[in-house]
Amino acid sequence: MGLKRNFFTLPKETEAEITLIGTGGGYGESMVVRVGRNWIIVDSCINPKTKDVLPLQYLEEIGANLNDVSLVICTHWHNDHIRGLSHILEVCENAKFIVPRVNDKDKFVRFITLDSEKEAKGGFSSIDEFGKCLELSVSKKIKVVRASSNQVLGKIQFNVGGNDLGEFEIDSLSPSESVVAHFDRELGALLDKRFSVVSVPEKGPNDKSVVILIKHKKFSALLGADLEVKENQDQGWHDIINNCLMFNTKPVIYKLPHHGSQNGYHEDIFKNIIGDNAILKLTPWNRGSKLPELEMLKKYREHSTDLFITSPVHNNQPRPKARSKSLHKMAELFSKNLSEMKFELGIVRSRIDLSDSHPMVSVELFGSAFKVAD
Amino acid sequence: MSNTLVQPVWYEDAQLLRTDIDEESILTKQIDDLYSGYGLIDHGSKGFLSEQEAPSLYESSKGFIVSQELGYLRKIPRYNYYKDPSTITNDYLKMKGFVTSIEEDSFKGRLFSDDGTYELVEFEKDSVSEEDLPLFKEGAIFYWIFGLFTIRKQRKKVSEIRFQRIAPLNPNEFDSLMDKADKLNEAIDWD
Repeated sequence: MGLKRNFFTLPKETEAEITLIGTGGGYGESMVVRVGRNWIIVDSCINPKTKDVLPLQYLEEIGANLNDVSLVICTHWHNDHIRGLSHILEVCENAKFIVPRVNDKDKFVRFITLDSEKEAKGGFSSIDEFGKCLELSVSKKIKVVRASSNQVLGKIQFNVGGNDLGEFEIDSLSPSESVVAHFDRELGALLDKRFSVVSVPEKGPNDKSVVILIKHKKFSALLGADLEVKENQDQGWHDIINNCLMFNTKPVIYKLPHHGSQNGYHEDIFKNIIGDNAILKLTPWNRGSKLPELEMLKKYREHSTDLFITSPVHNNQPRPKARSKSLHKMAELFSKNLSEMKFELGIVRSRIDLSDSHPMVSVELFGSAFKVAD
Repeated sequence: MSNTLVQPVWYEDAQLLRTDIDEESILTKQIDDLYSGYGLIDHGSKGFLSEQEAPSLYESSKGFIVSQELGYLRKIPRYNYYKDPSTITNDYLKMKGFVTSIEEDSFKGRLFSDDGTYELVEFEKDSVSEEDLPLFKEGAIFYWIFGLFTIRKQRKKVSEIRFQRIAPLNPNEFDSLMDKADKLNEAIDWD
């Protein structure tokens, strides 16, 4: 990856790790979490040029054993969260596969199968990646766990050198019951899309996103996926604010939802759940609308000065990809605007020694990641 | 040969003609490759082909599109300048992308390069040809070819946007996929 020397180190046995991997542009994001001896991979993204699966590349480069990956979590099936996920399931032999809850499994698998077929005919959506994951779960005998609000996904005992350091608990806080019920009804309509001759990338799975809470005694981290604040009080962040039973401490680390966008923010998330001065991490979105907006960055900075982003938000003059002079001129002649989305790998890594009575959380920045200043 | 009518299959606002005659898969491939004009499109709302016409149309479909004018189907030659052996492609690029939003006078899209990266693009709405308008919607996949061509000894700067047609599933394909999905669902070790 061309990163600093201290990048290539495993955490100490007593350390937990919460690492955010971003790609700039909107090519994708992923999180890698160490709990005890186990690793959890939340979502996946790839280097668009080399096709390397970035969370796997990260784990391999720091020397982690992929057999220690116990959970692979797909928070939702948007392109920027899922690419490379099937490869992860293929090589992480001991992992369970966590997906957003659906009640009507028959219709859901039909929907995925149909859309995968459509994409195979020349689409751009990566829903076929999700289809591959389901097929792999059968061939590799991987358990598929459906996650929803107020659910314990796993408990991991933390023993180092015979010392019992307590227990990690991994919880899912969403999707809410209301969202799951709504999606069951929606599936019928989605299946009717088979009649369309136009391949349309799927929209709207953000509201089905799985938000994850990692807990260990007084330490906890909240991974916000792409969950948005909906008008409905029993959906999205409102449901977590109003109905979540899983918090017993204020999270020290918060992965901001949906690239720090306005629709992922609610002041009660900070007032009732996070508190101030947590370590905030996010990835930008540089496709079309630029996220996070400056106003939102200021707002998040009011809650914490420890705000880290994996790469810059590009608001500069759009520039097309480098081409021959004549093609460059013609591209400008025939289009109104053309701007390249650059791949920029940035990593925000936190480690915390849980054997300390007053543990400190470290933050290390690699690649294009930086701390957001005033 | 009888003169019975072969009813085309109609789909929503874009009428993709699928005759379901011999070598369907080849025809489907040609429809997918419509950018180069190797496809069959019917602009009419109630068009049909006779069995006599369909095979000959299929045989001669390369380089033709089918359009309906004055209430009947007829073949219209479509000149594939950049596939014509006499055309010299001086410098050109073909990219594939999809529509991300449609504004009042323009539309925005995402165009993918061979190296896996992409660019954001905005075009005037009038870049979309009339025959592609039924396919022009958010999410629709399109090809953009632009460059410098020597066509019939004349050098020309060319830009063309064509929207992708995906052949819809026929009932047998649909049923077979549903069976595949049901088997997969049964085999998954759900919690």
